Parts: sequence; C-alpha cells; structure tokens
Amino acid sequence: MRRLYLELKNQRFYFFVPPVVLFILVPLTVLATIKSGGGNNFPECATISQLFIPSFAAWWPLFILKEYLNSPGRELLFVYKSGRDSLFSKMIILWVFYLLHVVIVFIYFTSLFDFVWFLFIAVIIQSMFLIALGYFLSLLFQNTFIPLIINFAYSSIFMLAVLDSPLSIFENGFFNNTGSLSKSIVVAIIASILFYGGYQIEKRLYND
Amino acid sequence: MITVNNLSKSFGRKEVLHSVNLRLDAKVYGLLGANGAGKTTLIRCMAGLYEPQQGEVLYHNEPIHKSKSFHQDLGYLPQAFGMFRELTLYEMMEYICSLKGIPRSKCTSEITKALTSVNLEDKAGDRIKTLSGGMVRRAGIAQAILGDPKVILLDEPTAGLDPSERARFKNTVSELKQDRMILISTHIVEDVDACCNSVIVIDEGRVLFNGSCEELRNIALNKVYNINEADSDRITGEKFILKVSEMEGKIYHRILAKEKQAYESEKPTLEDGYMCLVKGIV
Amino acid sequence: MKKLYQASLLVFLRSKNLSMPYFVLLALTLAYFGFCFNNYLQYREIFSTLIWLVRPCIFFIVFFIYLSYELTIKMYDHNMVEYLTTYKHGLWKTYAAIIVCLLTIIALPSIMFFVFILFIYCYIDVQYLPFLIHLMKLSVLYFGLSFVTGIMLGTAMAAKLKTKRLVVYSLTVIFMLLNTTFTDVPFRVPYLLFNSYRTERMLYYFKDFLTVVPHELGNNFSVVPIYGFPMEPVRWILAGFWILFPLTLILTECFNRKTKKALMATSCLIVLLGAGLFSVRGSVLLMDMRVDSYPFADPFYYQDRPREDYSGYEAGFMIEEYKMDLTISNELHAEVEVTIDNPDLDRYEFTLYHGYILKSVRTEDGELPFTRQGDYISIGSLNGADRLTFKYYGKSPKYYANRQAIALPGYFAYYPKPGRMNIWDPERYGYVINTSPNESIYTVHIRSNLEVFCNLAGSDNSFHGKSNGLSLLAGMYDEVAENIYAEPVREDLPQRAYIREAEEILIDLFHRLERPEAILHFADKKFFQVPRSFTLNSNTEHVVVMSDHITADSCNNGPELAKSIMESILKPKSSIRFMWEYLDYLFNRQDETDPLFQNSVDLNILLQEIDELQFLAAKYSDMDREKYLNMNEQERKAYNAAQNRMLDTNVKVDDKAAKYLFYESPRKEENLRIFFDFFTSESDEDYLELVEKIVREELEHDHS
Repeated sequence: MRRLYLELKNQRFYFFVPPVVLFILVPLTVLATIKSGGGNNFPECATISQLFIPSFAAWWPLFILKEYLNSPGRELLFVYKSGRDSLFSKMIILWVFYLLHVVIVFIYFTSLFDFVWFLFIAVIIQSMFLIALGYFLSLLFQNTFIPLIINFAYSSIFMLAVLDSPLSIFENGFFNNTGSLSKSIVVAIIASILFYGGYQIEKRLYND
Repeated sequence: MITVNNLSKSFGRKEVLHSVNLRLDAKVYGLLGANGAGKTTLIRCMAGLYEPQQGEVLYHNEPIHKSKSFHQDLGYLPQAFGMFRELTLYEMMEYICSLKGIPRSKCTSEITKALTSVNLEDKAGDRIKTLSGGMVRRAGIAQAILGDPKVILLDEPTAGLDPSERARFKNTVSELKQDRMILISTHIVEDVDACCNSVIVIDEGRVLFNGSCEELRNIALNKVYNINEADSDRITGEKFILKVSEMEGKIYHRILAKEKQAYESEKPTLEDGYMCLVKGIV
Repeated sequence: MKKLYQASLLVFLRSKNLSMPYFVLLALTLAYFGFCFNNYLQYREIFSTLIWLVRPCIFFIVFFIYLSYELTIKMYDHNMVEYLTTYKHGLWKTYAAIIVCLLTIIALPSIMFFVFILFIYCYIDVQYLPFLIHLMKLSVLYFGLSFVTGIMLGTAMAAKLKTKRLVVYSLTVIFMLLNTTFTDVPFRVPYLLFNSYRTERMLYYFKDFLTVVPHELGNNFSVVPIYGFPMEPVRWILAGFWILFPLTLILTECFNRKTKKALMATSCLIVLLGAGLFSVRGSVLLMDMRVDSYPFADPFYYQDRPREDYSGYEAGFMIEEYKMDLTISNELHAEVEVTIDNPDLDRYEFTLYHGYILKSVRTEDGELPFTRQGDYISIGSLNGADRLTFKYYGKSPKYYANRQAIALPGYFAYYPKPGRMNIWDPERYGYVINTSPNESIYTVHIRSNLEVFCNLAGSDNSFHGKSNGLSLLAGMYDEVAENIYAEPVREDLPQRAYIREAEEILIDLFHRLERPEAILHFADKKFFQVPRSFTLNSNTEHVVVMSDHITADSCNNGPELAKSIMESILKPKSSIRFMWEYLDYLFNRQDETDPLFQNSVDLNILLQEIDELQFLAAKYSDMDREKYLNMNEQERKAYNAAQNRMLDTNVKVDDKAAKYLFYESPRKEENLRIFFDFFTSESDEDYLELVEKIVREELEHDHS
C-alpha cells in the first residue's frame, strides 16, 4: 500500500484529475442540467454521470501502469515487486479507491434525486470494466497510450454517438428498478474476464 | 586544429566551466577528471552541442558554428549512446552514413572498415536490440569513426567494455591517430596511459594540467611511497593514501606525500601524477 | 535522404506496438466502409452516410498522434539526439525523414477514404460538379489535412515534451475530448449556473480554435445539402495553423542560435496570425448547444427582450427602390441605397437584424446621425433628401452568407426594411415573416465566389426587378427545373406539378370556405427550396409566399404544400396547437384511429374544462421569471403542478373542441369559416372564448 501511495504521489498534478472531475465537474454539470431541465431530468443526469465517472476511472491505473511499461526505471520496479504486489492487485485497489470517491459523489446525489443506487451500481461496474480493459490492453500492447485513447474513445462513441448499441456498457433509462441494470451483470463478467486475461499476461511476462 | 578560447559555461547559477583555454593538434588527448569535473560539458561545447556563455571554440581558427567543414570532420560518441533498436547494425550504419553525407558508393567500404575496427563485422546483420550493451558501445565508436573524421570526440568510450575490447579499442585508436585529433574523455587513467600522447586534467571546470603523459607522471616524481601500514603515520607533511593493498599477509599503503620522506620513493604512474594534481600535492 | 526515409519506415514496420495497431486500423477502416455503404443502401441519405464517415475522424487523428509520438520518441528513448545533432543538419534530416515516413503512413488511410468517397459519388449518380468538388474538399480537409495535423502534433509533442508522457497523454485526451461533444455539458455550466455568457463564449472560442474536425463526434445535427460539411476559409486556416505551428516547434529543436530564434519568432507570428484570422472568421455555421449557435442564438436573444406590439403601427413611408451592392466574403458587407416615397418626416425608423453592424447612414449631403437599438435604426429628418445609403456588415447565426453558402430569404431583415417590425415571435417560436405589402424595385450587385440564385431576373450575380422581398441563395444549389431552385443533392426535389396541385387544392378550399377573395395564385411563381434546417428553430418558415416567389423547406406533394401554405396564411393567436388541429380537419387529415374518435364529445365537460383552464390562466397571468425565482419551495411546487394541469387540460380542450367544432358539429362548415376568419383577422380575442361561445350557442340551439 505504501508503494501504491508513492506511485500515486509520483503522478503529482495528474493525480488530481479524477477528483476534480468527480467533485467539481460532475456536480456542476448535474446542477446545470437540473437547472436547464426544470428539475425533472434524472435520466439526463444519469447520462452525464455515466459519461464522466467511468471514463476517468482508468486514469490512475493507466498512469501507474505507464511507469511499469514505459518509464526508464521499469526494470527496477519489477525487480522489487513482491508476489502479492502484482499489478492486478494494484488495479483492484485503485478501483476500490475510485469507488470510495464515487460514493461521496453519490451521497451528494441523494440530496438531489430520490433514488440513485441503481445508477451507482451501474457506474461502479462500468468503472471496473474500463479499468479492466485498460489493464488488459496495456499489458497486451506493452503501452499505455493506446489503452488511454481507447478508454476515452469508447466512452465518447457509446455515450455521444451510438447510444443504444449492444456493444455499449452504458445503460439507458430511469434507474428506478433492477431492470435498469440489464447490462451490468454481463459487463461485470466481461470485466472479470479482462482482469483474468490481463493477469495471465502479467504472470507470463513478469513472474515466470 | 581546435582551439578553445576562454570558454565558460553555466547551467543556471552553477558555473561548470571556468575560462578554459586549450589548443589541440593532431594528436590523441586524454581528458581526465573526476565525476562532475566538467568533462562532458567541455566535450559538448567542443562538439557544438552547447552554446558557451563566454569564449569560443575554433576549428582551423574559425568558430565552429561558422565553419563549413567542422561538422563533416567531426566524429562524436556521447556518454549515453543508443540506436533504433528495430534496425540491423548495418542498416543503422547506413542511416548514419546518409546523415553524415558519405557518398553511397563509399558507404559499404566505410561501414565494413568501421565495424571491423570495433570487431563487430560479424554482427552487421543483427538487430540492435539483440546486441549487448558493450556491443552497442562499440557500435557507437564505429559510428563516430565513420567517414574518416579529422576530429574525434569520445566521451567515456570504454565504459561497459570488457578488458579484451578495451585492448582492442586501444589498437583502434592507434590505427586512427594519423593526422587526427582524438579527444578521449575518461576517468580511467590506464586507458589514457595506453592510448594518449597528451593529457588534459580538468577539475571543477578548470584545466589543471595540459601536457604529455610523461610530464604528468613527473609531477609525482619523488612523491610516491609504498610503505607498511604501521609506518604510514610517520609520513610527514601533506599526504594522501592512494591505495591500500595486501601482500604476503602485510598491509601496504601507497601514499602521495608533498615533502621528501625518509623512505625510498616509487616510480610514479600516470594515476599518481593525476592524483597529485587533483589532491594538490604538487 | 531516401535511406533515412526507408530506415524510418523500417523502424515503424518493425515496431509491433506501432505497425500492428496500424494494420488493425486499416482493416477496421475497410469494415467501417462496408458499414457506411450499407447505411447508404438502407436510408439513401448521402449526407447521413457522410456523417457516419466523418464521425470516427478524431480517433484517426488521435491514433496518428500516438504513432508519430511513439515513433519520434524512439530517438529520445535511445539517446540518439545528442550525436545526431553533431552531424550537419543531422537532427533536421532525421525529423524530416520521420515526418515523410509518417506522411506515407497516413497517406494510405487518406487514399482509402478518398477512393471510398469517390465510389459513393459515382454510386449515387448525382452528377453535380459542385458536390463532387465538395466531396474532394471534404477528403482533403477531414481525411487529409486533419490526419497531417495529427502527425504534426504527435511529432511536435515528442520534440518539445520529450519523454514527459503524462503531459503528452493528458494533452492528447484534452484534444480528443475538445473534438467531441463531450465538452458540451461542462462548457454550458457557466451560462446555465452562473449566467455568464462571456465565459461560455470564451470556452467555445478555445474549443473552436482546437477543433480540427468541424462536424465533431456526438453532433446530432444533420448536415444541410446547400451548405454541406463546414469548410469555411477559417477551417482551412485552422488546418494550416495546426500543421505549421507544430512544424515550427519541431524545427526549433533542430537548429541552434539565430535560426532557432528566427523560428521561435515565426512560431509566435503564426500563433498571432492564426488567432487573428480566427477572430475575424465571420459567418460560420455553428450547429451545437452553445448560446451563439444556429438553433439557439435568436431564441435566446429575444427571450429576455420585451416584445413590442406593432399591430397597427405605420412606418409613415415606403421604400420605392433599393440599390444594393453586396460583398459576401467571410460575412455580408453591404452598401444599400434606398429611395423613400415620403422625404418630409421628422423621424424615420428602419429594421435591420442586430447582427449587422451599421457603419454609416448617408444622404447625398453627407452622413446622418442615427441611433441603433437592437434591430432598429432611428434617423431624424432627411432635410428633403429621398435617398439614404446604409453601409453595414455582419452576420446572422442562422441566415448565413459566406464563401461556402448563402441563405438569405426575402422575409428576413438582412437589409433595411421600413418601419419597426419584430424579427422573432416567441409565441409561435419562429421568425416573423416580414414582407412588405408593397413591391419595391431592386437593383442588386453581388460580389461572391458563388453563383447566387435570386428571385429577380439577372445573371452573373447582378439582378434587377420588382418584388416585396429579395431572396438570395447559393452554395450547392441550382435551378433544378424551370424557375424551380433547389439543392440538387436532396432526394426530394420540388416539381411544378406539385405546386400547381397545391394551388388547385387551395382554390377549392377557399371556395368551400366562401372566401374567394383570399385565393392566392402562386403556381407560376419562382420556387426556392430553402434548407430543411430553417424549421429547426422556427415554426413559421415551412412556406412563405412572396409577391413574385415562394420559399419552402420542402415540396414533396401538392396536398402537403397546400396545407403548409394555408398554415403560413393563418395567424395562430394564442394557440398554435389548436390551429394545427384546425388545419388537420380543414384538409381532412384527422387521425380517426385516435381513441378520441371512439365517443362523441361531451360538450358540458368540455365547457367545464374550458372554465378550469381560464381560471388557471387568470390565476397565473402575471407570472414572470423573477417571480418564479422568488417563490419558496412549496409555492414553486404548487405552481409547477398547476402548469402541468394546465398543459394537460389545454391539450384535452384543444382536441375535443377541434373534433366537435370541425368534425361532429352539424354546423362544422360554418365553424371552419368562422375560425378561418378568426385566424386571418387582427382580432385579439382568445380562441377559447370563441370556442366557448360557439359551443354554448350550439348547446342552446340543441335545447331549443
């Protein structure tokens, strides 16, 4: 954990990008949307949440992976890497860390909307999927630039252009019952597969 | 051939070179200095990579940035050297030939000559990424000598080379030294002793010595003593323990002393001369 | 140099993390072409297909940033720069070889796009040269120069930021998001939350400057066939800027001393020049959510301004003649001389859209002082002069006039119109059709790179004739049949037969309504099809009949056109919905499958609902935005509930009243006539009062 803390600290200014998005940008855009829509527009706010929150979930993981894949001192990082200190476990910890931030945002949301927890579940699963995708692609391509592009390209395409594609992980609707989470289980399964695939590559590349 | 006039270079507030004056002719020079002494900065200034704050570097009495022939006549090996890892050694050499403006008809012979002189002729078809660190270093020397340059600046050329390759490097320098100015920056004194006619010693950005190897050695004449550890304290005046060695169970100190001692002095080496200079035992 | 180029290409091909994704991208591009072609086969909408083609453009650019950065950074990763610099122009040659290599890499997808677009053009068989030229320009700007921008940015980032990957990644993400509608919601925050229009404008200014794909991902507005994809001069300037500026940054890395300083100066100059030219971009098509955009600019502008009531207002003079000298470059520059019929007034009022900046008003004796208030110009006495010359320039967000297209309909005040008149009608949510009842003589000279089509006779962009409005259209626009002008690329081309059929239908209708004096003859007038997007933010522009020509957003069939023309004649008063219902019944277009048609209307309930509606309307008659904002939570809830109730009841009342009056009533023909008179009169009477009156009369009649 101490090492992860130092790795996050090493990001300096860039560490603050997800908190700024979560604690400033998302609340402001949601408030603006509420104001423009006269208060009855939870679906629009849900769209905004799905657009901003999951897409920045992979920010910290990818920037940490960058040190392992692209930095000059990468060999050293792997030399001192202990068994339980795998990249996979870092990804999971970072997802939980991000999730804690998202919880704060959603606690604020409860003051604006009646029921937000289905949206919360959808958003954290989507965040997990994008972290898993970033982790898998980074190890596959041995590069973090392409996964970062794919992360934002994916969110942009399926939240801005092709809203109702079966390839999208994002949900539409009112988020007032379990039916709103029609894709979430599949998304969670795919995320697990991606994590598993990434972990296998990690083991083959660095542990054997 | 190359004249360095009153050269000063600073990085921010830190002055790295202080009014350096040198005149270098067609000889092999060793540039000796401790880490951080300013060797690399001096070489980079001489290669035209750094713009000095004061002074100038002349090539055939013409400032290097105005000289039309300087870049064509220059061969340079930086301290950190690398190449496109995806190319083969031969392709990379061709790439450098093209950059150096070597006519295509001469390329093959030039590359073969350069690679042979660094013992890499059999690796010409190998990708750079398959070469060892020492091989890449030798490839660096090969790129520096491509195109028959008149001025060769080598920044720590033997770093990472095994003893046999270092010996080979000495031979290469011997073969090249005709009508050329070669400056070898290093902190390995033996390399200078083996290859160079002249030595320049630099410390904290100032030139402490510029002369032949013999002259440098003579600085330590009658100042080197190899004595028993127990007698070490009997040395009077300013002194410096250069080396501690063990022989037949006894510990000996090689000491540089400013004053004449009661013991018999040793024949000085280049390293002794260099250390006398650096430690102020003159 | 050839050797260097070959070596760079080899480095690229042998780097698996570069070449593999590249070839995957090429394969995906081919598959995507298949998808786009299938989309065309399904919907036969060429611009919709082209939008699909343009959508992923930003990802190509970002991918090329990745390729160029990763290829160039190898030089720095492998510590090559130091010794390359010692060769004569070594670094410069290396960069040049890498850039040429990258140009080769992007050439392949560029050519693929070019060929596919050419194939689509041949396939649709439209044979319209301006469209072909538009497509070629599209290929160059969107799939050529924008890709070059990508490689220049990637290479420049490698040259300047070196191995600072976090900065490079962040800048690339920002660049990518700015080229999508991802920014639309956050950029609107300053306006929506803090009412700061200026901040929103600044943010969009910054976004526009970084926009290399003008029709960005997520933009759901359609592309209008007269205009095509945005390719105004400013887009080319920006493309040039984003190629030249990074290039100078790269070159500063390659040279020392004086050359470096000169390049730095050039770089600054390019930034100043780019920003300067960008600032005077003039009339551009802004199809997005910002306050300045095509759909929202005017509705927002007029929303908070008090609407003057000009019914019964008389200007006191007419314009007999207009002499116009128009230059249409990046925007409209005009010098308009008007001859007025009454030179003895103390005060003259004119209407000119507020987007046009009036520079001077002159008579033969010299300049006249004037005051400008929004859309209105006030001038004092003319001292006997009867000719006034207005000099102005500017633009309208909707009625564009630039080097790419012109859409200036005669009913819009893009030239001074006599008297004060409203430009926007918030009740109808549409532009007011400002046409004079009297015709004026127009002599018009237009300087433009486009062939302009006008309702007046003439050629070579010079026109002369008499009309009550001057319409100018240009772009991908042509005379598609005799005196019928339209966008040749549009599927639904207008036909004279439809216009004749519409006239016949209306003549029959006016006879049926016993109002033969209202009969319109328009079958032989010039017909101008205006972009469909005209009705995007306006309910009044489907059809406008002027003295010598008609403008319409479509002309698919006679009955539809006839209905639209009738709609343009009627004044909706307080209920546009009821008017639409009236038109449906008038043209016998009611939907009889609607549940409303299962039972007859209970008139007593209808009267109760009208009462309730009138009560609620009276209760909140003095409500405005300020009062709403001052309400407490409970009052606001009550108000919102009442508004919802009013809306529901209004819909019900409209449906039932229209069905009874124009369908069930034994006096339905008379009712149609009464409401025709009502909708064409200047009366201020509330339509509900009239409905109530007729219903009560009928109830009484039934009882008796």
